[in-house]
Amino acid sequence: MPPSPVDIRTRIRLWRRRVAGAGLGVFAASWIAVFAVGQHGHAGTSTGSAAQPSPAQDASAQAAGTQDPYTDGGAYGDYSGYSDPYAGQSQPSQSSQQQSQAPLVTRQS
Amino acid sequence: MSVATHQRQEIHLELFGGRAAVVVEHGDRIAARAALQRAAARLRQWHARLTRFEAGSELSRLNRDPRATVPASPILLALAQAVSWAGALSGGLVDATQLGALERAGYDRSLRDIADPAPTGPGAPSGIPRDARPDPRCAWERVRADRVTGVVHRPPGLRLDSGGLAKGLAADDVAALLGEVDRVAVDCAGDLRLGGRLPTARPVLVADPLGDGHVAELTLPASSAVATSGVTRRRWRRRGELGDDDFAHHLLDPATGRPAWTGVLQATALAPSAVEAEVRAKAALLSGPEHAPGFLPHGGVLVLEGGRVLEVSS
Repeated sequence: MPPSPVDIRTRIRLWRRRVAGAGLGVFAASWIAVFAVGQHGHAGTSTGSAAQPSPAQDASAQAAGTQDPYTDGGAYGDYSGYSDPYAGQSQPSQSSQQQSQAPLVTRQS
Repeated sequence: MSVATHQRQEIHLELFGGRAAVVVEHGDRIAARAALQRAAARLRQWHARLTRFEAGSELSRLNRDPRATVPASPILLALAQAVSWAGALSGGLVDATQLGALERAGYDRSLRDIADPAPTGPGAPSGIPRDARPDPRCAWERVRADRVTGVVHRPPGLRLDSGGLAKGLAADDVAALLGEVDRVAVDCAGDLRLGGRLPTARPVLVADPLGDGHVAELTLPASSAVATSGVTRRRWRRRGELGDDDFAHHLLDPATGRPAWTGVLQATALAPSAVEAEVRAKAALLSGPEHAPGFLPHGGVLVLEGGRVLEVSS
């Protein structure tokens, strides 16, 4: 005897639920995996403790200067339309992981 | 109590006639590396667009363009805006329209290509120290950038030198670009800017203009900048007016168009931004020992003829 239209609709509904459930499961598992990897990488590669800046330091930096017309959000415009002619030509010449905060040096260029 | 952790990564590039470096401290190694790549790409854009030693750069094209109004990229617009701003801030001492005089002094190619660089030292190009003065024509006043329409206005034939302004602008821009990392330090061939979302003050050593050590240590406030200008490094030999060996350097007296000799060997300026630090350092050097402290309201260091070191507090 052929299935009734009601049976077909029920089967389709059940199939949709299974597919949706499986999709949600995969999605949730992916995020759990991403979070776990991120936590592991964070702990495994950290090399120092970050000190929070004191409010006084920030305030003094903000108050230190005269009005600078070039600090409006720090951007000079939309660069997205400009290609980098040197893109891909070189990798960082040096990359290091150091724990100490070595003093910076200012010198004549 | 949660303790944030970070790690440090850095990148070094040969740009702006010297070395540029970006140091990032961030909790996520991959994000830090991506940030460095973005910084490198942006710095290369600044260099490629504003170098005057490449005929095809946007700055070279602007300098050759016969029109009074020229379409410009955001980078060139920023430089054009900085030219008039720097002139006003320095009373005309930092004059980026002196390109012809700079070329006549011998700086017509990258210093790497100048065959006979002068040795580092305190020698004077013109003997008697004299404060630099502004060029009375004030050509920098006629340079305008219109960000709305994206054009630069300047009299045809008036050529611009990106000089130190490009370095300062680039350092500020990249520090802003990397604002999401914990901490960043951007060094564009001597113009140094701190930034990041958790900025901290950092100690900065001021290099000795006559040797390999340092002459002073400053505290660079969080998110601020420092720059150093001097006459003992970027110099070259030339035949003097009396037929003897002389040397020239890249800091000109705008009034004479000749290398300035003011009695200040090196000036270091702190400022809220790298471009301002650059302008203040250069103006301090050009203005001479008496007026230099007036250009250092945020603090700085002067090294005078004879090696005397003068720290200027904010």
